[in-house]
Amino acid sequence: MSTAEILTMIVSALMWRKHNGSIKLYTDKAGYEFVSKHNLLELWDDGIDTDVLENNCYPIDPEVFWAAGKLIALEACSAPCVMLDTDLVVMKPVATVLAPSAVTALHAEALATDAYLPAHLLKKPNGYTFPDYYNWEVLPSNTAFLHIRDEKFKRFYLSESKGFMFGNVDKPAEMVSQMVFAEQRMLAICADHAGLPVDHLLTGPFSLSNDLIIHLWGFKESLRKSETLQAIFSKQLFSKVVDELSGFPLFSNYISKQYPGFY
Amino acid sequence: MQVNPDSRFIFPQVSGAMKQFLVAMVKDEIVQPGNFESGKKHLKAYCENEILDYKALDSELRLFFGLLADYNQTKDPVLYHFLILQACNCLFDEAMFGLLPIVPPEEINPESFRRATSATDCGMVGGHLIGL
Repeated sequence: MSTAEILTMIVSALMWRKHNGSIKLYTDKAGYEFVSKHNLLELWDDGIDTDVLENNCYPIDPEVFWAAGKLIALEACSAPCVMLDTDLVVMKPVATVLAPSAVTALHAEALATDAYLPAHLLKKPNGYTFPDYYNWEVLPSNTAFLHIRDEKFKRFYLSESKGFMFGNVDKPAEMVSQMVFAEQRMLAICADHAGLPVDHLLTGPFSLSNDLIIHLWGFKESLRKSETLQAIFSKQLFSKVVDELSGFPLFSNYISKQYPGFY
Repeated sequence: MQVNPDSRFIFPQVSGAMKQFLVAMVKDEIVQPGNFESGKKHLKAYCENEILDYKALDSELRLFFGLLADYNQTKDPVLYHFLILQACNCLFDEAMFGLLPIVPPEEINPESFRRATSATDCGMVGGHLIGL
């Protein structure tokens, strides 16, 4: 994680706490040591859970299903709940937006990309067949933000996802298609089967009418290539949120140490 | 870098002489890294004459050179996008930028300079919320 990503993670957690309530981090031992090293153990006011991921024995290939930890953590939370990526900042309260919605994700994604393969090209576990009721036309949803209201639907979605991931050991040519199917396309397919509409916080990822979300997404790769770009980004992010986060000593202390010229 | 999103389309009115100086100074630094320091005396004089914030401009130019170094190593199109954005912060307009010996990446939008004011080319959602 670059320093700019760490700052984004801090802003993500604190803006959520400011506008939307408590937040908990699910991570493994290595993740815990990382946040401890950066003096960020107090960032998540509902604590840090390492038991769920450390004690998990699911037969999931972490190289192929690199975001499976998110779904394992989601399984451990009771609905209604929100799952939030650490590189995503929700700038405002969203309770009134989420309240009437059974499922809210970040934005829809197009099927006509290299990331979403047709069914016959996906690697499957031995003996597994896709259920006939899967609708392959529904658009996947980006789950960097995911709200699920009902526990029953959450369990159904995760059950279907696990059914695809468990024992699915054939390596694909690239390490994107299997995971985005298991997490993002599966959500849309399950919601469609359950008769639940999937709402989205954004009409599109790059809509200029967006006044709610900052999400690093693919920009992370460029940040990691340039410390100057990180400096530019970090200063801009800081300038945007400094007034709102001035009440959090963790923020002020972190900035003073890491970015002494910012104040 | 203080970017006012509303000012991204507005280029400060600087004299033709200062524009020429800026282009020459940046070209010189690109060709002979380290020469920027020796030009700062004149940069300061131009800023004073044209009532510009010298320290701010110096800071923006340093960021530009830092980005340029990273871009030259990686040829990342996103870094190129931000190089253009940063050039605007250094008072460069499209014509001035075109005079610099910077090789664009292979996959580049011909409207790159005009589109640099939007974050849509860099893969970040909501960049416009923080002036990027």
